[in-house]
Amino acid sequence: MSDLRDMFFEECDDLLEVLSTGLEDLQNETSDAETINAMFRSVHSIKGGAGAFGLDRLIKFAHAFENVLDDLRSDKIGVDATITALMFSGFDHLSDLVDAARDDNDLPDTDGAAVLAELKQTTQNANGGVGGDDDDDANEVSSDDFEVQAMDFSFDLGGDDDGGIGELPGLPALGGGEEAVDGATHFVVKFKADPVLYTRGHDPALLFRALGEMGELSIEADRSEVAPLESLKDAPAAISWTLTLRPDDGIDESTIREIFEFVEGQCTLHISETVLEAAAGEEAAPAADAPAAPVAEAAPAAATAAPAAKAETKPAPAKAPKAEKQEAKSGDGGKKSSEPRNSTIRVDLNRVDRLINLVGELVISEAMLRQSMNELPVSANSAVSEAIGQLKTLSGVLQESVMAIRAQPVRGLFQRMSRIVRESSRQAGKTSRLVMVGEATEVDKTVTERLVEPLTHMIRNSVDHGLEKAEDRVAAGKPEMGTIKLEAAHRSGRVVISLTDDGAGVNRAKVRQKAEEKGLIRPEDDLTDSDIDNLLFRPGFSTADEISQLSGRGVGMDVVRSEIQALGGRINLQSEPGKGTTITISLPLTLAVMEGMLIEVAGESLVVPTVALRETLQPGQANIHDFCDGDRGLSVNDSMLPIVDLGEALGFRAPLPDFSNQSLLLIEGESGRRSALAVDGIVEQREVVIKGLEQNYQSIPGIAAATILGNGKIALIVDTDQMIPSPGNGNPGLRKGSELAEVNSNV
Amino acid sequence: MTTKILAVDDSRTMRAMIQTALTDAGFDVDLAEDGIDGLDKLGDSDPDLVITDINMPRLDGFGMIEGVRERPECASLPILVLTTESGEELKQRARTAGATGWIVKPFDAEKLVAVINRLVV
Repeated sequence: MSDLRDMFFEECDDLLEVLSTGLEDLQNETSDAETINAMFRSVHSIKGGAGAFGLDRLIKFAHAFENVLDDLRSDKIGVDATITALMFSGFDHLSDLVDAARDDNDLPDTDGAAVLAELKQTTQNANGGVGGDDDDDANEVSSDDFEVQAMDFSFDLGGDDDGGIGELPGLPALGGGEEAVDGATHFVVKFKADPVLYTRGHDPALLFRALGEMGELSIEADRSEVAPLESLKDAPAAISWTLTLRPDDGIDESTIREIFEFVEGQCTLHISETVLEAAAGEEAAPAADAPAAPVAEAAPAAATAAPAAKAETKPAPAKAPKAEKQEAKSGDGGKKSSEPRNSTIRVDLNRVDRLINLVGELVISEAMLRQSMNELPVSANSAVSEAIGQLKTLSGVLQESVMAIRAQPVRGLFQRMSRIVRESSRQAGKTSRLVMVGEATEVDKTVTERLVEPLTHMIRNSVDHGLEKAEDRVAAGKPEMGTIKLEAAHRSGRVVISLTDDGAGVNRAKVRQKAEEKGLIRPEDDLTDSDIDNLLFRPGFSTADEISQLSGRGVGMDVVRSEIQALGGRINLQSEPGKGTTITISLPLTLAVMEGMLIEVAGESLVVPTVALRETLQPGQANIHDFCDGDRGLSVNDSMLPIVDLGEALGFRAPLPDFSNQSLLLIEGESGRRSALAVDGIVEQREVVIKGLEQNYQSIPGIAAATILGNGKIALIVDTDQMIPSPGNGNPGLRKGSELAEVNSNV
Repeated sequence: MTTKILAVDDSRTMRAMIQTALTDAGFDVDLAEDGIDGLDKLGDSDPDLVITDINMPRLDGFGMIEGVRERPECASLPILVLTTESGEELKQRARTAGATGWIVKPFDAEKLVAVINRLVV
């Protein structure tokens, strides 16, 4: 059941996405009839599933929501701004209810009560003030009610039957009459099928069989109306049956009626109850044969054609005219839509991850094979070398394809953000809209999941700090409504997501002043505009004069940055005074594989992510400068970079006396600061499969993860950001802050 | 021979629930996602009974039932409607279209099985 539950909530996410897309279309006036139909179905399906899991609040709310959508699609209500706003609120609350149900949380009763009331009111107004069926309907799907709802049985049973029980003398054919000696209740059921019954998939024999399971049953068929064979048509419909049931314990008239619940209106049915005296059985016995006899005489020709009509306790095999089943592949349903089938399958994420891991191993094995081949005296033109070359290409393509399985469009993520924009605008008393570009861009599922928090925070910031108040916007000649744009695109093997507002831009004077007050920079520091803008990402920085309800939650943009970095991403802010601000996040396509530079330090193999790598150098001693405290710097293009001795920083060995035999890797961190890593040797650039360490070890300072090399050895992946000394960040676990730490790339 | 049931519902949760309930009861179950899909699969599936939802994209339950009844070989195939709807008007529509029975969701697996057993040979 828990699997089904998970599946339900997963489906809810998809359904909410459909709903959200529909709402956007409504708002942008790009909707059509199918939009509202699809929205209705989404809410309807949520209600249906919620019913199965007994999620009463969700059922109630979805029901009210669905009613309004139903009124919309039947044009009882027109789409206007008020309705759209209500729909959005409804959507938000529905999402909350789904989330709460998923996490087994209870939302406060007050939550959404207003929306629920408004939805109900809307339906009521649309239906001339009659909203009476409202709660009844909702109750029908409540969890306590697992009753099979019969087709309404209020029709006049036996209405077409002129004769009541009184006109059926002697018909209680008591199974031959031999056993009716206990004075028990018997039911006499008179049944005649209308021809239509046979076209609705019913079969009287099956009804009788069900009846037969309720006790001892005898059946009489009256074939007197069956036409002679030569003009035989609708033979079964011409037969009427009289069934006498001596019921088992607990069987009453209602349970008998239940059997006939689906054939209502398609038959003549009369059920009566008789209590037979002990002695009556014997007396009735001869009478029981009476009606059967004339039947045989009246329609002798039909006897072979019509279903057998033997009186026995099991139903006669009175088969409805069931045609031979035929191959029906023609697909002549007649209602075929030209819509293409979107064929997808849903796969457990664990299976995909296992596949990705296996392919990762395959890539490693392939690399091992290639390495061994290189050590053999085999010509590069040989068949073996060619085959191995092909293997390399194939495993590369295979890896890419497998990665693509995990990819999903950012649409869902973006749509969640549209709610954040609405909510934060409301709270900040501003009006704004969200524009989405490139929602189809695909990103690793984990990445989209982990982007929710940072993006939420960024958007709150944009609405709160970025957008001006309405009057200020108008004064500045901007539209009163602010625009927040979320854009996603693939760019040079990475995913770039940007958030742009058309607000006032970063107030640099204020930022600088604040940063100085907080001691993040010194008054004499020479900072570019971009440097100042990016001070916003520094820990403990907040420009809001008053802590606002929205973004003043003790989390700064520094947290956003570290979350993005944890995903292997970079974040950058560009701002133009008066025009607005753009924050750009650049992310790797997948978290499972990365491009790295294989290096050697103190006999160990290490990998430096290529993302951070700017240059590799074999510097002359002339470019390396010693400082009095033992630190060394590298002069490159008129700037001075700190040199980090990787072997020492990671505790592999004592500091080297000089770097004359070392290679230097110029790395750049997210902050834009750079440093030079001194290493023993550079081996090659390659793709590595990332293996997390934190599951098995604690997080190790200076190390981001590990990988397995072609020769089967483990190589640690260097956390480059921790290898860049910077004034604000320090570098935990590594060398203590030094004078050189003040040097930055702009000096 | 095992009784084969074709279940048509656009909700994958609902499909899974139906499948679980019916498979546990010993039926063979084929699944379809909407009316069009259901009609497409009808021939290959060759079911002894069809269960269908009403509200579905592309082709709803009513259309699907009519489509089934249009096929001579399916003239007497039992079709159960399984839906959250319970309005009399809709039931009547389903009956006119050719539905055999109507069960309101959420369904109780035992009852569903009992109803099916009453409808198939």
